[in-house]
Amino acid sequence: MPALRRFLLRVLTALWPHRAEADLGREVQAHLALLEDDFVAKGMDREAARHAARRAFGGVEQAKESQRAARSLAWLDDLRRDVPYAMRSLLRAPATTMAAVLALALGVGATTAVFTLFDGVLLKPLAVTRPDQLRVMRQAIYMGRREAKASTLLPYELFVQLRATPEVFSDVIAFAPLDDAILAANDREIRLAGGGVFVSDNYFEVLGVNARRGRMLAGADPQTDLPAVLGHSAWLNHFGGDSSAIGRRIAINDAPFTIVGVAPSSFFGLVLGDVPDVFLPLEAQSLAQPSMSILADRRNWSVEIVGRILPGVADAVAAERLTLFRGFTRQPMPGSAKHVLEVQPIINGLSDVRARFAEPLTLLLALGVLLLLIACANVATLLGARAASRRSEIVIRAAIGAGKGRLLRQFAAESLILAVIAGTIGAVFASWATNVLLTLLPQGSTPTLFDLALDRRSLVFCVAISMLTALIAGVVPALRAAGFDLSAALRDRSPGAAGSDRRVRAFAIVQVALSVVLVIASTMFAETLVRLTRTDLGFDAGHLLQATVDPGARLYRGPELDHYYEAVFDRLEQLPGVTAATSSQMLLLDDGRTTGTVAVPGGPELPQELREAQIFQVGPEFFRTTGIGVVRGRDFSADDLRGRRRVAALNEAAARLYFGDRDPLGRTVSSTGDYEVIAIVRAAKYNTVRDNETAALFVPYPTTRQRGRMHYLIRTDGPPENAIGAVSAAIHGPDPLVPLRIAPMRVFVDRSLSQERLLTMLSIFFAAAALTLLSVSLYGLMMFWVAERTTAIGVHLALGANRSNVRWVVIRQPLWLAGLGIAAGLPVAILGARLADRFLFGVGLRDPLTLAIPVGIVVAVTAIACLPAAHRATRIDPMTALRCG
Amino acid sequence: MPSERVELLQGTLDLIVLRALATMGPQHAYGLAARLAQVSDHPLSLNQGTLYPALIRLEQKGWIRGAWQKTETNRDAKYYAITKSGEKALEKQAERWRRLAGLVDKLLLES
Repeated sequence: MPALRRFLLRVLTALWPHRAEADLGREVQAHLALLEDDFVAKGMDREAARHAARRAFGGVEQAKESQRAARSLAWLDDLRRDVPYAMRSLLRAPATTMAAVLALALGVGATTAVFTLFDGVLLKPLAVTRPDQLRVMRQAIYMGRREAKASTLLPYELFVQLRATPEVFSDVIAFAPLDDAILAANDREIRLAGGGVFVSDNYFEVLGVNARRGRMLAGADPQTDLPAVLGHSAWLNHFGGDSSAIGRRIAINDAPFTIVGVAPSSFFGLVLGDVPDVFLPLEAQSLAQPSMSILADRRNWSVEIVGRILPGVADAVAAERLTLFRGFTRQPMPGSAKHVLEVQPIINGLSDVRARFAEPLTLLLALGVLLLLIACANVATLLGARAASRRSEIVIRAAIGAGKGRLLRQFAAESLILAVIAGTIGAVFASWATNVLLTLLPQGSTPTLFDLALDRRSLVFCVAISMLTALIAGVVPALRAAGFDLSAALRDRSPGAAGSDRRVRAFAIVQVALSVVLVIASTMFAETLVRLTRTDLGFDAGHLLQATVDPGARLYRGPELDHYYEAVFDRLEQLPGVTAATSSQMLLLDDGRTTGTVAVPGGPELPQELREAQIFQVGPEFFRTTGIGVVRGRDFSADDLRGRRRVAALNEAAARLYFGDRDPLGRTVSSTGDYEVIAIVRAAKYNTVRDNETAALFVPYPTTRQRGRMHYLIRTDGPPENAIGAVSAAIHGPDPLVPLRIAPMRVFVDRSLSQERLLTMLSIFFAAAALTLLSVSLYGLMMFWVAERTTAIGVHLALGANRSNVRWVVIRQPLWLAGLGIAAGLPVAILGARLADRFLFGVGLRDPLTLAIPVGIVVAVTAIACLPAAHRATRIDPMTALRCG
Repeated sequence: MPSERVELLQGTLDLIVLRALATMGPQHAYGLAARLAQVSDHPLSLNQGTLYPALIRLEQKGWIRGAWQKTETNRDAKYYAITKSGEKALEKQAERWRRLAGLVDKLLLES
């Protein structure tokens, strides 16, 4: 159609005008020639005819202009001219341009990286069809109004019944995790770090997830091997991303499967923090996980159920209508307890750990935005100072007819070029930084895997903020340019007052203020970390190994389990280099928690909350092994485990709580049974390094408990790291294929402090970046300032001022700016410290040093950044200065 | 001879140029301006500011095509000729104009 054709031709002409220009020139010439001929025909001579032709034609340039307007698109034309001009003008000041680009790239990159994490963990919806329709079912026990226990595990039987009569869902799916999966393929056995997940046969269909290769699980031919779908990263890591993986026969935990497909890279199941390596049919669960059978024990709480809710059904209503659940609740419930089913949306995935990450990530995002603002202010300072020094150029352009709009467009073009370059560098930096940040994320006892990388959302974010910051930073010089007083500027031959321009200095002050906030944040987090690291844990962390074995995953049951544990324990005890070893139901500093009620028969009635204590089931010589001090009484012995009398130990807090001043030794406490108190031990940090003192009860851990998993604590002579090899070998002796996790205590401590470490490292990085940006812009600013005042300083020197006076005059300027900035930044920092209180430990604003040190750092950086300018001022030769001025 | 110049709207100028090229055959811009002035007895005075943009518009729409040739006096000139799609467009535009003119006439008569 003609209109479209015209538009396209106009675009083409705007971008490649040379041919059209040549044609235009030729046509005008032709026209003039014809006119000339006419006049000659009327009797004029050549010369006169030429002039007459010109006059008759009218303005040549105007005619050309109107033709150009018709021929191409005006704004595109301008852009074509503006962009190379902007590039040239940026290249004329390479230092400033490079500094601006790097500052922007840093700000954009850091913020994009943090955003990628923030988005991936907190915001991004699942990569399934209509994630907003998905609901997870969650069972909870309420005591009165308080939620006592909750879990997403439900009986398989409920899933079967729901599938038959959905009630409120259009579809339901079920899944259960497989934590320990050993993959046997290509004659190799590998432990799958991401584990696996058993899924119902309609899992992928209901979620709307299509295979990247092959097919997903659906009705498979029962004659052949059971189907398995590989997770995307497992396919890349273990099968080289090769299509030949499809159809290959593998074994998971000795059960045979055939790979039928690969999941898309964006799909990681429904649980945030899990990236399963393999998806297996639920029907195959007992084959690959022999310690239990979901299908056989249908009423066990063993699967998670997710459904697509019917449109228009509210969650609360849905929960009530799920009457099928009542068939599974324990009736009657004691006291005011209620067992209910809740229905919750999971648009961005199920997660226990999201809460753990939500707060630090939000804080990080705030810090990142601060850094971005600093970068923005930095670029504004740089460009603003440059614009001031380009005043004469701008004024001339305005004088020959450039309107304000045109000048603004030109500055916008410069800003956009900066945005494009900085955005690209920033995106690359963000990609690297995201990976680094992932390794720093606070981990729990089971590693949380995130499959986060720079995706479309992050890139859009990156582009958006780089455009935004570049435009904002570029608008400042544009505003200044637009406000120039033409005649005054033309008359004034001075290069332009960049260094003393108010707006430029305002940005410098903003930079100082924000930098102060970041530096204070970093010193506070660093101090928190140091204090936490130095806390007395109450046990000997320097000589302790913690290990976990999982014989249940290898089919061990009943008496086999007992034999296995005995064999392992014997070997452990006999190892040279091992001072003591014990078993335990829980690991120290593992962030797990088992509480129970403790009462003293015959003692005073305590209120509900106070009756709760942590209960630890531990093996013989637990206190000797861990180094927890026994204040009174004795350690547990092997006899205690076999004996008739049940014994227990209380920590000091529990003793005080339940017995007050009386002596607890020999008395009885009752929890799940009656125990005689045989020891009082020192309090220690059991779950996290930040623990407050809590009451704890220790009881012996019966070895024959039929549990498929056991923890061991091992005390070593020397550094525990050196003993890992020997201990692992000892544990693997009876059966090398039993899954084993072992690490020195130090690793658990570090993990417990991983959030603090993350915050400290990042805030220090941000603070360092902010200070670097600050010194660069102050350096530039002061150099301008000195250059502008060359004459004045020359006069001073000529009149007898000495060098140090001059130096002081120069340094006084930025110090004054810094002072204002610090005054502005301190209240913000103080407010921020109050808001972020829960991240801090033992650090308060009451200690004057907390604020004095960061302020001192900022002042020092300011002074150092301006030393070169001060130095240059002192080198000014008064004679030359006076002559030039 | 009326001395006022008739101001033309863009669309009608396009129509006139198309019609002129359809009836007169290929013309160069100068010749076209001269012929139009002749035919309309001079009230239609086109300066370069309006004629050339019109020619460019029509050429970009594909309704006319320009080609460099020699005039009788052996000068270079770009001759414009109407194309097939231009002829079709001419018909459509002419019809539209007639309808519009008829309607305006009728309204003017009635008031």
